[in-house]
Amino acid sequence: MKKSLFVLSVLLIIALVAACAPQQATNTQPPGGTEPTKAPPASEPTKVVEQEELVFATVVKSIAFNWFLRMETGVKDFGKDYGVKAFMEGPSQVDSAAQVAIIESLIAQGVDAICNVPYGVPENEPVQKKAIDSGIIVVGHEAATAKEGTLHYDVEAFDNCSYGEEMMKEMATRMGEEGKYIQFVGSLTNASHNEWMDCAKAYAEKNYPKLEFIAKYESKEDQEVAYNTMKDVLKTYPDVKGVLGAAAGDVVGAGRAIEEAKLQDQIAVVGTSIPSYAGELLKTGAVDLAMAWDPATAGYACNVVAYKVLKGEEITDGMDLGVPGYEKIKLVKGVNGVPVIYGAAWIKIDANNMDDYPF
Amino acid sequence: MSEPIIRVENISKRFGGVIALNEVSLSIFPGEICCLVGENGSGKSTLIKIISGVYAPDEGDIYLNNKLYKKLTPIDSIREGIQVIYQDFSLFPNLTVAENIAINHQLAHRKNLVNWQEVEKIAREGLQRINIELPLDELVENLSTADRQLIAIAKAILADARLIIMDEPTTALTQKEVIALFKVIIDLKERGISTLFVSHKLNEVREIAERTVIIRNGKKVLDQDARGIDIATMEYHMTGRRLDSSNIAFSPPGDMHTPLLKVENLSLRHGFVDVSFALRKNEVLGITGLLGSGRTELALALFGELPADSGRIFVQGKEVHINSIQQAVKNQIGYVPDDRIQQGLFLDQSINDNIIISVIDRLVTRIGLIKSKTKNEVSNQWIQRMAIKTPSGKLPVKTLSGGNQQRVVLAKWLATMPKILILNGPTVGVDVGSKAEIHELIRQLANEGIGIILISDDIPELFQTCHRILLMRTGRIVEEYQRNDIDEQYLYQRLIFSENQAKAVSED
Amino acid sequence: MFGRFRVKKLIRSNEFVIFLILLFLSLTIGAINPAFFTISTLFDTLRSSIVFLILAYGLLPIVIAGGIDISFVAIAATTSYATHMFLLKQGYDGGILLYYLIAGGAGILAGLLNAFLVTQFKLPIFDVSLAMFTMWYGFNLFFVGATANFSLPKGTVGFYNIFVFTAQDPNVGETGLHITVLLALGLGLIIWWFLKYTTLGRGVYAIGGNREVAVRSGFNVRLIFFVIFGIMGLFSAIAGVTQAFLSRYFNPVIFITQPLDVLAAIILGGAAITGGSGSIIGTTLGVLVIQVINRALILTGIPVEWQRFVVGVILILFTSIPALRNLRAKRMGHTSQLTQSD
Repeated sequence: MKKSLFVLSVLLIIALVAACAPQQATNTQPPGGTEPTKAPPASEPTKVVEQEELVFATVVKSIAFNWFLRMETGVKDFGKDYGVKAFMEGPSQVDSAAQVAIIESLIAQGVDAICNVPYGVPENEPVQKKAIDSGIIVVGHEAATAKEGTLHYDVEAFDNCSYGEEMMKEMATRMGEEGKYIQFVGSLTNASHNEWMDCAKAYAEKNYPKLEFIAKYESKEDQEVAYNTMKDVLKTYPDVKGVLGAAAGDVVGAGRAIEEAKLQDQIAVVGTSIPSYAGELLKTGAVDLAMAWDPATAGYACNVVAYKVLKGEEITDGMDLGVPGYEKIKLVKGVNGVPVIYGAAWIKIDANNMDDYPF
Repeated sequence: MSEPIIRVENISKRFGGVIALNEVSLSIFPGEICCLVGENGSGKSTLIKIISGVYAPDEGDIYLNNKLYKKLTPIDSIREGIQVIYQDFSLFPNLTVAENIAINHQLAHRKNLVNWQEVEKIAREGLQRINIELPLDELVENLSTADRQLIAIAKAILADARLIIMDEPTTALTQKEVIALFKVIIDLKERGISTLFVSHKLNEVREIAERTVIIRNGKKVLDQDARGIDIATMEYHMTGRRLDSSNIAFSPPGDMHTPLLKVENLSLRHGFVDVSFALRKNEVLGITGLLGSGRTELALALFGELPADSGRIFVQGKEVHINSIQQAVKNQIGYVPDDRIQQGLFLDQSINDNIIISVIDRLVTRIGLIKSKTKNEVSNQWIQRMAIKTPSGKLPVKTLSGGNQQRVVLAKWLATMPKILILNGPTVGVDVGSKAEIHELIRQLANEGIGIILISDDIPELFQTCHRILLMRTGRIVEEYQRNDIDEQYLYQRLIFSENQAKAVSED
Repeated sequence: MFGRFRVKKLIRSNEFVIFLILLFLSLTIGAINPAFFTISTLFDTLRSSIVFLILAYGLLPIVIAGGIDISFVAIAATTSYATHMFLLKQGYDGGILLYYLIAGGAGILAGLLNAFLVTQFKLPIFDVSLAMFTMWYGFNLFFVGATANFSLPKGTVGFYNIFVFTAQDPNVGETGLHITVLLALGLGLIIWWFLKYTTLGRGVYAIGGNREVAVRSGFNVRLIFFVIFGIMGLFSAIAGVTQAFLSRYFNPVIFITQPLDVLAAIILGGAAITGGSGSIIGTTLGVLVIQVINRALILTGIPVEWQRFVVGVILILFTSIPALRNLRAKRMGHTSQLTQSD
């Protein structure tokens, strides 16, 4: 009897797979490249690489996010346009250690360039340095605070401070420029998130004296955490009027809590997100404005910078990378010494224009 | 006499090339108390397992209640009323007394749901049948070994047992608990329930047996009415040789002025109070007492495992502080624990490694490596000296018999060249032949100048080895005897007396 | 529990200790922030506990039987996510019940697969579960899909707002006790009944107490393992589906970081990691304690930079109370053993 159960369970699993697999091919991204185990075998590409094809890897915080799958389309487009073998990899969950392990294996495979989107910037520094030391071009994204020598360049869709200030302006307007607000960041070690929020706060202190800052909370990049946190915030600070979210799930979690308390008209929720995450909540008004940059263009630009460095081209202030939003880049030295390239590539998404951004 | 409950005829059993049982026949009649005696490896366990249907014999017939079983299964055996109480009692420590007693009933009647009132009723009934009282909702893990055994017996009775086989039932019991167990066994007899009592504690066998069966090397060598068989005869049949215990050469202990070890007013909370004594060179000092008398705690205190709260310890006239095992070892005190498996040995490690483990720092060369040659030399020396029966010192200790394991523990401590050696129940679970050899070794060690503290409640053992005997009772040393001033019977009475006293005191 | 109510025994029980911990925690938080003592905190805490309760109830019998399993979270993620992707492809527009049926069936089979490997090849439960943990998450990402999916069938929209009770909270506005609390309660009752009143359930304790003796006594150990792993798979699937509809999206790697949280709640609730003990009430309290600790941080205004440190300290403090009790019990057992073995 047990044998037949076993057989039955195997059959059921196969049935489920069969049912799901085509679905996935038509609806979402092709699985190739999203799965660590399907990364190109170590030996083959390296053999060919030297003369013929360049191999560029893009490493992201986690492949389980639509955000990064959108980035992958940019990476693939870059590969096609520039004739480079470009692919994306990342842990199945956000985890610096797993990310470092992936980069380690890329070093071992001998790729030509890595574009890294680190979960924790400091945690990724040593392995980035190691990659550079092995002759690999390493360009970061969302890593402007990296230490000198751990990245060739960091590419940002925009100057973090401007983005944070923009977010603050949007929220403050919706709050009537007064009341209490809170902030969410994905992780306290995430440089970009914290820079946005700290600049937003500084901007408010200068320009909106009636805004009152409560606290900055960590969502651990998990919208369930943001949801539960928001619920407690509503209790502890019943007069909260504004929420800023840094990670893509932050406003979703917070928005759900607000919607369930039927407070969507009382609280302004503004933050980084994308339609596939926040779509429903944008429609109901629980999330007022999602701000983003198109991860596809960011992924594209990151790889372009790596390509130019590899080819020995000089990156200069004001130059055109040939990517939308990066036509006139700003080049500055980051706080910890890494040269940072800024575009001006943010987008604002609300209930009216959300259909223009299918990611 | 009526039909036997069980009759086995000319049973033989081989395991590979080894003959475990060789044409053994045995009958047990209703209401009979039969003792099965034999050394370790004599075939006792094999016989039990054949009777209970665990092993099938290679040859021979098994009749249960006069019915021939060609292929006996454990279920058949149970159905015919044969219940084995193994040494682990087959109990669940995490369940209550009531559930443990009733669980077999529950399973036997294929009940899918539990009626807790019924469980309680069944359990109460089971305990009543052997006239004992236990808290029904106490967890078994909180009970003493003796109480667990009673639960196992109650379970067997409830399963309509007609023959209860007890495998070494007294190993972990105190004298008083043994007496209580015997009362239960006699009680069972009166209801027509037979007991097959498997043991190698000969004084107990002499006390309880109506019939004694002795097997040696797989053959039955004796099967007769227990009256008129004395311990010496049993020993002879078990071992096949006469053990010489009358003619023991004691060397006189050293002088009293500078004792090897002197203890003054040593106390340990929940252990012992105000203990003072001295141990001389060449002396074997026995410390005896019952469960809870504090004798084990005293040993552990001297060895630094349970450091004493107050009092002073002198080694060779110099005051020392023993707060850890390391300090005890530094003062050349060795300890052989009672439970060699738990405390004394690494069973999976080789004999060599076990022997040298306590002297390892002496074998380390200047660059920090251990020469395996030196290691083997040292341990081979001890294997020879202790007459450990093994083809090679490289075999793991678990391949040895109980007696030989105990020798490895002794060797391990002797290798540290102790001046003072504390032995706690050195022959518990050791067969008669090895026991005599260990006693000889103890005397020999004393002759060589080591002072030995022997902790034991095996009275013949104390008389075999000790110069002086201290009796402990509720944490105090209450009496001191010179071996030659008293006899075994007297000491036995004092020991039991102390327990009754202690009980009276604690109940006040 | 033989009808006799023994106060002394109650006070000595693990459940009582953990209850005191919960009480102490709540009073402390409430003293700092009176907003803790509101109906909405109660509802929120229960709501965030629901899924963990279901996971813990499913895992408890395995822990009692002496096993440590971590694959239940992967089973929860895979069954719920695969069911969703399957129904999405079929254009399913109905209610949530079909999700529970399909995922539940798949969950049972996944659990039985564990049981099969454990009993047939005599593999350690933990080893099997470690392999299954990796396999099911990998399976989900590779074969089913790697992205969170937010498109819920029409028939299920609004499920997250079905309440047993609603109340007006002065601060938060409307607050409700979600209906799935009843689901968790019902599942808890089933496991309680199973463990206490069925012979199989007693067999679970027997296996945890001494597996060898359980076999010898005539318990059908194989069957028991199939039953408890089946329960684990079913409950995991139910938890996975419930979580998805409460948070309104399906996540292929949901719970991946949480198997130890669930295990910790069970252990905190008085189950021995070596098996043989554990109760539904203790487990429930254990889950609530962990949830309350998580809430404490925002409500007491502990700066976010300190959160992790404080959580760690609180967990060490409170898990060590039952552990200390056990240690004391063991010490006492140790001394008695020393004297007994003479």
